[in-house]
Amino acid sequence: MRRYLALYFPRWPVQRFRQLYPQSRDRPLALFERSQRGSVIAVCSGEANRLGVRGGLSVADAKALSSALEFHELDLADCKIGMEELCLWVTRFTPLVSIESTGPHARFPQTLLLDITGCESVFDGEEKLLSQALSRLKKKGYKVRAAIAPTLGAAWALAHHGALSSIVVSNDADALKEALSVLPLAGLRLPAEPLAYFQPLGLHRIGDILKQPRESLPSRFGKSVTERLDQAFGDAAETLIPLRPAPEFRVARSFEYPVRGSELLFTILEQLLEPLARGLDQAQRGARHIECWLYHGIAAPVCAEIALHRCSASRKHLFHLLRARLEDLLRAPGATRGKVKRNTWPAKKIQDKGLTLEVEESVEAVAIHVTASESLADQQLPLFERASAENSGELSLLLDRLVTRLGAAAVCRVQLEDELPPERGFRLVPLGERINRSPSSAIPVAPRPLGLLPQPIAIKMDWPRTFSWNEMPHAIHSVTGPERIESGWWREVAARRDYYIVEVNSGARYWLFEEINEQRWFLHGWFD
Amino acid sequence: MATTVLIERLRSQIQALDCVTFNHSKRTVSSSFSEVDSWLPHGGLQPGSFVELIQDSEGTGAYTAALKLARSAAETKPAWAVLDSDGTFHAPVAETLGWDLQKLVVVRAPPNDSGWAFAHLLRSKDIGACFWVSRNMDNMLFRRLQLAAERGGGLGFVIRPAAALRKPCWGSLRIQVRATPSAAPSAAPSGKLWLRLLHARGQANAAGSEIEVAL
Repeated sequence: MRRYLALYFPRWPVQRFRQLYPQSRDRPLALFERSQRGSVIAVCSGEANRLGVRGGLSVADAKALSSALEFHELDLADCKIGMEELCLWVTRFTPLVSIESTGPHARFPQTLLLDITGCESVFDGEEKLLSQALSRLKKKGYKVRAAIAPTLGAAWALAHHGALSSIVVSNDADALKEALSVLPLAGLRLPAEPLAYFQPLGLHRIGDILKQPRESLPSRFGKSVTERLDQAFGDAAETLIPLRPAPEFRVARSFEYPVRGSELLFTILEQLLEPLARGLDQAQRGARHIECWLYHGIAAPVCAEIALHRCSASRKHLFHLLRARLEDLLRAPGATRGKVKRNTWPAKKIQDKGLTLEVEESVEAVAIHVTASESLADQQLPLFERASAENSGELSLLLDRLVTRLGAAAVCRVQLEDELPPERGFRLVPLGERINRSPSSAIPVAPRPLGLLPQPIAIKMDWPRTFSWNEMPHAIHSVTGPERIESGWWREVAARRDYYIVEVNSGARYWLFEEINEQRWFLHGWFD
Repeated sequence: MATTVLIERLRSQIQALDCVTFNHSKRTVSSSFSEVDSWLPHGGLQPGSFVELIQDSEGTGAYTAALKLARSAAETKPAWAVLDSDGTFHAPVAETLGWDLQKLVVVRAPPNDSGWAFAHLLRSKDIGACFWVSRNMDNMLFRRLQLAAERGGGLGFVIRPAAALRKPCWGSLRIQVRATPSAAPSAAPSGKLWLRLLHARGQANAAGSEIEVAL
């Protein structure tokens, strides 16, 4: 039987807002959303609740209740980021952590679900694990309710509706039934519709439903009721899908004393990579994607990700990349001295928020995960034929650095295509993909510009005297053309264009065309 | 000290600094055009350096000139690279100019990362030549590019707008490129470029010379 811990953060958007803006801690706070019927309260603090503010109330009505109320717009994306940060933070208790994705709070999740099966022994028992988690979260300023139970549904229900703020229920079926029976029906994570049916029938608690004949429940209240009941009591499986998949290869080290200083950290990382590279080599695998996690005392862990264009099991290669990535992060634009942009999952969103984390802060543990690997036997041939063995390594390192920093889509090779219109004459393919020899028909015979706009730009044309582009008039000196270019009729948008090479008075040459069907002029490129 | 004396002293110091060649290699490679080689102050292009090409507007042929000048210098190396931040590089044309597209790496870096990416491309010993159309660069970046080119030993070409003329030059060469208009409206394009040497590191006297070439 598995063991699950649910951590419920009541009024999470308010808690998140107050974490970011501590000055709002003691004030009655209401977070609103804009809707078709104006601004509506989405969630409010306990103090605002006591003043009569409720979710669904319009902001105008709420203002009438008290002048002391503080209103802010709800930032759902930020709430999600905050929850994901917390999710990463609690991986110190178990690697299998998920954010609730169903139930009444699916829109702005407020609960973390942890699979702690087998982890309790590390903390000397479930109670100690729970108390440690709660005390550390409280220290961080969060209000949290928690429950440990043998099913996800039960843990969720007890955390949300249990009488105590922390509950541990054993695997005993009777104990579970006793604990759940007294809880309100909302603990079953049911949609609003069946819940509304129960109320007039005098069914308020889970125990009330259990007394009803089970066969009649689906036809009367829908399938979801029996499904949720079965999940809560362990009669139906419910899988926890962790936020991050389990790594294929993993090495980790925690330190007796926190580590400070990047050079020492790099030395440790180099040492850690040795068993990792050995493990990869023994399994005849090469890493394609690596995550390096730095765990700090209080702040959320930092993750440096590396993407490789070819798989590698070379410790030296992986270390160079990892070191370069961490150095890049340290020098990240916008990061203040001694700080690094937090690159935790999901990297982009958190970077957009511009959150920073002090690197000077000591590192308590390091873990390197290989999250994607490939068979070394299937490794592709070198990208560039003439690269010597030694230089090939250097070129690989360069390409991997570029891919890691800019993304796989930004570092490409060119595949010529025998396609019209001209903007479809080639495509960029990521480094990992094989490219074919160019078909000879794809190489242009007629003059083509070196600068080609991916999308032609409409221009004002006074043919054949001037054309204007970017509000700049260009006097036409000479014209060569037209050259008719047509794409096939089977294309979604068939192109039928007359192209001209237009030389302006300065001698600069542009590639313009007239779209025959629309009788409009476009700039498509320049002979740079 | 009189102002004129001070200015003269500063001027001579600047000239002395300008004559220092940062690139330790004296080796040159041909630009594939004998008239350009004899026009260039070092008798060719210097590997391990980068060249600034200045153009008044797009369409003047500076990029084509860069590709043509660098071709023979880069062909012994396994790869060449284009930093294409705005996504306008039309690769099939490079093939018609004699470049092997199988050896090409196209990097589409966002503006903030372009300088970083170009410096890394220049630093690689396996990249024979790399090209970048850049609108804004600062002096710090130029110094990084210079060091990167010296380490890598390849050639870098940076194509810049005319506004860059007011800024200091950090490349081994700074050349202004203009297209020569056709003789008459009905005539075919001249296909000629007018090149003006604005700066050559270590060759202060060479600046100002001009050449018209059919590349």
